[in-house]
Amino acid sequence: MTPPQQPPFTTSGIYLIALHVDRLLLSVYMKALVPLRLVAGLHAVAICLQPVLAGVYLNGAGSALRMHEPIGLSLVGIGVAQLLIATAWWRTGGRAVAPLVTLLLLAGEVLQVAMGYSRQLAVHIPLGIALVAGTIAFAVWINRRRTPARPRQRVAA
Amino acid sequence: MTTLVTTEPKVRRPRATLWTLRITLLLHAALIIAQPILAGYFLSGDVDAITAHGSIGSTVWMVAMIQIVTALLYWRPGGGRLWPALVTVVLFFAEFVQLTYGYLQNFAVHVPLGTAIVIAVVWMAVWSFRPTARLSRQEAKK
Repeated sequence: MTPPQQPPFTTSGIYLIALHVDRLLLSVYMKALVPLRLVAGLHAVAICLQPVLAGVYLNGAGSALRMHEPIGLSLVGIGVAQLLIATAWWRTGGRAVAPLVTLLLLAGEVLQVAMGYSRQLAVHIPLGIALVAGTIAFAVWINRRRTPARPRQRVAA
Repeated sequence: MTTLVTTEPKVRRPRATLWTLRITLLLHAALIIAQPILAGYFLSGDVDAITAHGSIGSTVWMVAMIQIVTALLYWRPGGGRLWPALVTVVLFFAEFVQLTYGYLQNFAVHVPLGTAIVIAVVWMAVWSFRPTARLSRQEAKK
């Protein structure tokens, strides 16, 4: 946290512009955090269906695999949406970890879909568990953090 | 020369008991993580993998039992919180149910419950190495 370079009552143009940019960033930050929390929650709930459906399929119900497949594909879509929102949140004062972790999860999900279609279960099952754990951990983390009052400071030079 | 003596109220923090809990959790996590990998190898055609999966599954509840003891020691006399012991009791029962459904070959329970057990054990192991695990009960309440 850098101390303000201008005393608060100075009304130089640069200071006012910096103040305006900060307010704008803060509003985008707040607008991005709520959808990020929602999409992370949806992501976590949807991914929990996958091991259930896989288990039902292994019990002999072929119909479960016909649900496992489209949910798996939509999870990649949810992952892309989460990456976009996490990036917006990061650029307006959030943490860079959010898009980084989401990118890792998304890469894992793409690999998971490929391994699923090619029936490589030695990769598909452990990777699946890791993805469920990672997605739940991300959702818990982003929903637990308190909203800081101000985003990263941008001080006009 | 004056020495500054800080007189903090004496709080009992878990140290040795935390380390025993951590070691138990690492062993538990290693065995538990091996399970989905072995199951995956079995399902992709490696028939021998299921014997290892079965023998780990048949013994991992003993590790959970040891973990109940170490988690209780972490609570008292260690001075840490009680919930790790309670969660371990739940894990112990979950692993028994998991073993039963594994032998029954009811995968609609075995696969999701297995996922939940892996996540719970790994999460506890990660938690035990975070600074918050070092806190005493009184400090954690604040």
